[in-house]
Amino acid sequence: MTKLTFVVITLCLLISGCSSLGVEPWERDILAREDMALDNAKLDSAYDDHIYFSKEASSGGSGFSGGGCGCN
Amino acid sequence: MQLTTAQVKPSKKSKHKNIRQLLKTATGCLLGATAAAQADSKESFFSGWETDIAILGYTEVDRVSAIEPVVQTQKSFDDDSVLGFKLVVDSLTGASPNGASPSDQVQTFTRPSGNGSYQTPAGETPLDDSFLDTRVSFSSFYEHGLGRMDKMIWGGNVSKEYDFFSAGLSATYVHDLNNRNTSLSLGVSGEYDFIEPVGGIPIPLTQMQAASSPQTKGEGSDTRFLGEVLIGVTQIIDRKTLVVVNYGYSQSDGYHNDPYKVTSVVDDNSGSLVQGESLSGTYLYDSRPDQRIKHSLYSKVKRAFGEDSADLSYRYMWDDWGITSHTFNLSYRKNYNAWYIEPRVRYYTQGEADFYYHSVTESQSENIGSYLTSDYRLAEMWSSTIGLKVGFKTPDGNQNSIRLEYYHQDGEKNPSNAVGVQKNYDLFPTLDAFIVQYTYSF
Repeated sequence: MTKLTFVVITLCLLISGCSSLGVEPWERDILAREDMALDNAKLDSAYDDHIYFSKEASSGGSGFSGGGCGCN
Repeated sequence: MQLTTAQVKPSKKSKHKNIRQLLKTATGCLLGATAAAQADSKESFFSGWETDIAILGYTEVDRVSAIEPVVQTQKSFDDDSVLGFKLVVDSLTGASPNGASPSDQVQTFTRPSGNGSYQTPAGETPLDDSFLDTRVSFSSFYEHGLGRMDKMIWGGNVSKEYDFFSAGLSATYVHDLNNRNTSLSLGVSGEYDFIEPVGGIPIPLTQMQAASSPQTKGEGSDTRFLGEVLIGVTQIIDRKTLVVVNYGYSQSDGYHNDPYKVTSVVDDNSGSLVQGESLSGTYLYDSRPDQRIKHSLYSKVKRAFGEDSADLSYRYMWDDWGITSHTFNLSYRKNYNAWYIEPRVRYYTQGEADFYYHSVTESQSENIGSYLTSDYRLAEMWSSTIGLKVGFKTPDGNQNSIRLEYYHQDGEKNPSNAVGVQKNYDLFPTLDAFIVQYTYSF
């Protein structure tokens, strides 16, 4: 429960602190680059999720953790 | 969760246009896009699909090998909705540790089917070499706006392999604020798994029996349900920096045992085999709780450095089986005009489950409780990956990439509670694997 409380507080602080961050619409040139997209290698990530899901006890985090695989 | 940034494809040159168009049309047809075609004119529906095809080769030293081709395609429509499909075929063969520990004697094990047996020489990690499976997985998603600052993403997937079936659905709501500098997301998903092991489901904690004897197997199949909630914040920090923070909660109920894994019972003093009911050794079938609750905290920072960019992520995971893990990942992409190189490192470490034992002594086995596993994936372990990806564009602007990686997994080879002859052997099955991937995007 302590860990959960920490998570909730962290997220609240992030959201409230975020209002002063950011850029104007005309300042998004670099962020619009293909290599700056958060999911610019979706296939690589999916392959990795499958490999590590089958070899380790952890999964998910960046997305849902279900594997749809009987490998673990 | 991570938000999609729309990408603008460069203009194409005419000499590759016909081939590309043909591939796009074929992909759309193959992935079942025809049903939705009625909503749009035929010609416009089949144009504008962005498709990736890839093949991955995965080879473990002396263990499993896998080939995994993937096709995925997606299209953005005029109303800003996005539809996508993905097909994965996964073919595996090779040998996998069966959970038993090395011994000073030859060990005989019964194959999961109960028909036939295999032997492991003295001093070697017991491997079941009958591992063979093919998995086919199909998934799709549909993303659409809900007003100017909100959107929904719907997902579905089905997956089938010889002894396993899985079907899942997900829904994610995304809300943008602060001039689209902040995105909040809330996702839920549910998954149904059907497990039908070769030879039936072993009765937990009973002994593996010789092939000639009646097997200690119960039902032919069992099920598992998985529910998840994922909440996330994506924040633009400045012109060069993005940050993601996610928290995930998952709960699975049902069958969690590995039906193909056993735990060795060894002599209290010598550490050698204990005569079983029908085998020369005693091996107990895997037994895990029928519920698992996992939490994960994930963060990622992406930052541009001139023409280049770096991607750093960290995940902390903990569950009610006593496992905690830390995952670090760092990649750096060096961009050139028409190509790039991207080195990458990953480090992972986890603690063991409360009910993990590399093996148990005869007296321990009499008071072991309800749960017991020797699955190395629930052991204390650490792993590292190093890799290099090279990407380049064809003359018509389509992207190619090749990724090479090396994965090494290690654990406690000489635990302090090893008994007798066990001290002479490695009690964690070290793993080395090589990964090769080719991707073509058009």
